[in-house]
Amino acid sequence: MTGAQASADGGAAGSSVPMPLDWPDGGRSGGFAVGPRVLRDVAREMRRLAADNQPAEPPGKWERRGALGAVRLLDSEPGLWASGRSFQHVHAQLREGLMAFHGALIGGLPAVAARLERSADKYEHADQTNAEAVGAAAGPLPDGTPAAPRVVGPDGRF
Amino acid sequence: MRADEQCYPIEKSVDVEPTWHFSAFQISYLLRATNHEVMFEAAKDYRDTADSLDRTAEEIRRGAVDLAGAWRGDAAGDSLGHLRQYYASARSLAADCRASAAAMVHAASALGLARYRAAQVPGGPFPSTDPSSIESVKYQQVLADLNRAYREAITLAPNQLAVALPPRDRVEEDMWAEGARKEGPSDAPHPGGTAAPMPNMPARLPPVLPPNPPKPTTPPTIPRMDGRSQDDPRVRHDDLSNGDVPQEPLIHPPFESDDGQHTRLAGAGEVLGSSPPVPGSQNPNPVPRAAGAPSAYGGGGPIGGSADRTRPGGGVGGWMPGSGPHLDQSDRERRYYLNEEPDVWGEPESVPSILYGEFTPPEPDRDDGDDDL
Repeated sequence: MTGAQASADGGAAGSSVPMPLDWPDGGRSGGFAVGPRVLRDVAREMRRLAADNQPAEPPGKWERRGALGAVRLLDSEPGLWASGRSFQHVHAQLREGLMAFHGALIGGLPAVAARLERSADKYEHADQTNAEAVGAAAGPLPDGTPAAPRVVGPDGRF
Repeated sequence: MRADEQCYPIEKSVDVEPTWHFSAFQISYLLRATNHEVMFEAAKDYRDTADSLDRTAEEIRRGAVDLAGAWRGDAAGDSLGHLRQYYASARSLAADCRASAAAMVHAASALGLARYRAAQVPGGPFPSTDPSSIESVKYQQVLADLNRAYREAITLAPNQLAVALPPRDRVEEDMWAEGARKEGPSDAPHPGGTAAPMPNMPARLPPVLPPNPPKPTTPPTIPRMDGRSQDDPRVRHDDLSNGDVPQEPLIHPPFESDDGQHTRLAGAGEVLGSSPPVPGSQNPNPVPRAAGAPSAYGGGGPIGGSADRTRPGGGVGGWMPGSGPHLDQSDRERRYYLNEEPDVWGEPESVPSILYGEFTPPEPDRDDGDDDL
């Protein structure tokens, strides 16, 4: 699948694909409220969706209702005359376009999951790095002087 | 249209197809090759796919809600924007699937109705091959109505399929590519949001029309009630159902009698319009005559009158079966004598035949008394 790629501008009004207006937004500032576990949970859910919509394979292709490519192809059923062929042609195009876009949609979900997992890894790595940095900052200096701020005065008083 | 949208245009043709040149045989043949049940199944496939896409969209939305409550920042905003595009694309495809299902149901219902109507057209298992016959006109009306429903269904179908998907990172090999390679030479939709035709757009199939069968040189063999075969030259073929003018003359050779003579009816000339005698049956009123002698029924000749009008009774009407007893020549002469000379023989004292049994002769001795007054 080499197509089904587009920009990520978030969408604008007046398009063929209407975007939802009540979409949740976490805001542009802030960080984790719960932790990277939520990202992994959502990523796992996206992978499950992709797995459930695997392309249907023959035999029994039509038994997997709603699966990718499960819309059957018509040949002579609408009729062999010109009008029947016109309707059959419309159906063939709809089926082909639906398979392409449905496949692109399902095939893109693992990519979304992978980005979420990468973000979770980054945050976890960043947390670990920050923790190490904090620990390093709190540790003793190379000359043995404790790096922790002195809270006791030279005279031994607090 | 946004720049990130991808469209798959649907090529449509709603041209009116003429049906006047189809014969009943062709339309019957074409309708028998159709299957509206499979079309109903295809509509169900569309609906199931729409349901699957709706479920996918809801799962994406649920994940986005969870994500928005736990993650903030620019990266979170971008991820939520991607999920929003997937959600909108799934909803858009689901709506297109439902519109396609509605169009398919409309076409399948019209096809089922057309098949039923065609089955109700009288004509038997061998419909007419003449496009101008009444039977063909009825079939043509059925096909015209079906074509109109097809055009309506094509109008109901989506004009295009569109999605707006975010750019994908090639993190892993996606399953669609594997499935597409197994499925066939299906390539990606045209990127960039343009309506350019897809390289894998299915080609339109040409119509396949059955030819009319050649007109038979000999009429179909139909068993006759009289046991004769169709090859018998005495059997007339007046079937004009094929629009052909019969080439053989309406005047047929006279029937052969048992003694080799042509059987003629009295005064009527030929046997036009009469029923031929059943072979093997005997003449119910045999009249012995010599070979070459005129018929005892008055002879007769070719159509238009008797060839020998000098003979008594020649060419003057004829005896029709069931018209009562006929007289021979001696009876005719004696009756003439009795009718033309009543003064010689006197008036017969016989009651009028029409009042026979009801007439009471007058009584000469009776006096009603009116004359005395």
